[in-house]
Amino acid sequence: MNNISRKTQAIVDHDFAEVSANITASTEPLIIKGLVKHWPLVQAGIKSDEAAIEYLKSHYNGNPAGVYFGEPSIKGRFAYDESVAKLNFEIKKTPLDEMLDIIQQHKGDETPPAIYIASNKIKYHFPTLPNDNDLPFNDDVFADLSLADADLLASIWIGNKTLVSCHFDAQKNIACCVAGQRRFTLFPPEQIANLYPGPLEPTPGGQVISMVDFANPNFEQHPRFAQAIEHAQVAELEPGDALFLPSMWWHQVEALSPFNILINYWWNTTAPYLGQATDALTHALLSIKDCPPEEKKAWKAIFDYYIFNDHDIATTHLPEASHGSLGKVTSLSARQLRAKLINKLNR
Amino acid sequence: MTKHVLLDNVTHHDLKISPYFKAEFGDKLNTVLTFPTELATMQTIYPIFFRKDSKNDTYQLVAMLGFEQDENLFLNEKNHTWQADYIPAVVTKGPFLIGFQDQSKDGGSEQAPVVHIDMDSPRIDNENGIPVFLEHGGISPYLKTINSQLLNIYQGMTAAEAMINLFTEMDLIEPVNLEITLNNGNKHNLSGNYTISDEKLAGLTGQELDKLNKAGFLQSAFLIMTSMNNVGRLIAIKNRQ
Repeated sequence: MNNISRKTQAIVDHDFAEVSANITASTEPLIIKGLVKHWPLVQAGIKSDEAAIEYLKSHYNGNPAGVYFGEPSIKGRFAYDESVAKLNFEIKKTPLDEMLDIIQQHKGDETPPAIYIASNKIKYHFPTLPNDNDLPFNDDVFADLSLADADLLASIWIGNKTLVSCHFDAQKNIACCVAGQRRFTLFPPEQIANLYPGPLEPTPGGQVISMVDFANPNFEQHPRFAQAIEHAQVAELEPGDALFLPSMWWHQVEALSPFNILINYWWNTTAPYLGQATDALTHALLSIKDCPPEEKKAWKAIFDYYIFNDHDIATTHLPEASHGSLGKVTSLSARQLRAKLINKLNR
Repeated sequence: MTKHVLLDNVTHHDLKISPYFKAEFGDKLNTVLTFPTELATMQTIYPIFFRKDSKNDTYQLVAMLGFEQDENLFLNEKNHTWQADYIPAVVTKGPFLIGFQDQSKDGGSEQAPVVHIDMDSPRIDNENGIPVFLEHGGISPYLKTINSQLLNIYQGMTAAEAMINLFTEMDLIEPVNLEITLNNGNKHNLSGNYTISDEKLAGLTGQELDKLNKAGFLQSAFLIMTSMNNVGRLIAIKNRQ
């Protein structure tokens, strides 16, 4: 773990008041130091955990949320039990003021239970929090998409010392370290095989996680992880720092302090009428994975040609009127493709 | 006994449901619940009334199927069919029912309606019934019908409550006594039924009519009133028996 020497590039001297395409067009992760340091919640947290908790409670609307509770023995690492068929924690509907109190009660414990809420929409529980703690986005971030289509979503993560195992998300992400120290360990998307992904389900948080224990890697069991380390980088965040995370990058997230808050922003980069790539993967499991090897090889070439090659290669030799679904997918052709799939799948 | 479980295409891949209607399935009913969401079709066949729920003294919307206890004039007990062009949703839904599943995500709390099945229902007939799922797990046309009928009921329950509240608020519901004489001279005195008062409906102000119309229940009021003509259909069926 500690032999990851590469640090994520940090923008230190800047006068950014908003997130713009300058940042989000990057194909590499970027730290923007102190981007949200002026937020009252960040300032409260710098004063004390109690001040941050008080501030959070003053914006809480009383709705309970699914809180992750893990035994002290999991050491904050939300993953699987030995069977890898079951998760090693429980989710209980809990009022969040209660959760904050429980975290405080265990503050002095040498090995506290892991307590955590992940990726909760801020508007569900702290509707007034963004009034004074919000990150403005320049329209250029969303390129051709309207703000509604980009579906910019602010979420909050609160917990004690916890670890979210390495996974990827399909959306671009700005993660703001609001309270506590946070460490992101980052891998480019093509490192997937070297990270030994776990089962497709169940998953701790909706995404497949790496089975490697980064703190204690077992290189006999996971020899390729050594190669992943060569491509890894680490982003250490202080309260007020933000991390831009390109979509699809694998990331492990460690909340290192006794009390931690993270607020992040996710947004879509594709039009809402397009399908989900993960659904295409599910379909491929059903339709391609168990084909004979020579057919699979052929399908790989076909997918390269139609899907993964430069957009135009399948159409340049054809008159435009004949492009059909090979051309750029529109909201109308998306409907046709969807109807076709639904009909074909229902059998 | 009932045993409600979430329907899924793995656990229930061989599940088949009897297409028949029988006394032993509980189909010998003289009334069934009905809903505003199926009223337009129901009123072409069945007399629709309000009945008072004995438990909490509120009105329920029901369709009349017979004049006596356990008499369903639409049930043909010889060939186990329901002789009408449309069968009420609470009957066609068969052993299926709506359940709710916690599908919370992102910290929200969403109770999403899902399809449950009563595995102790006598309508389950894995030998000769209609398959619920297609050969490879897809949704059969039968299950599509079930889904839409469950949706009719689910949305209809809320709509029925709103409709009855508005009718009550406008004092439109009144009792109706039905005296029926059959060809053989037998008489039936049916009480406990309520309908829409045509006098009170005609006496509504323009504003009230507008409110009723905008709520979508003005048409329902007329449909319920005119559906009483279907009592004649029930008499005709009974006379033929």
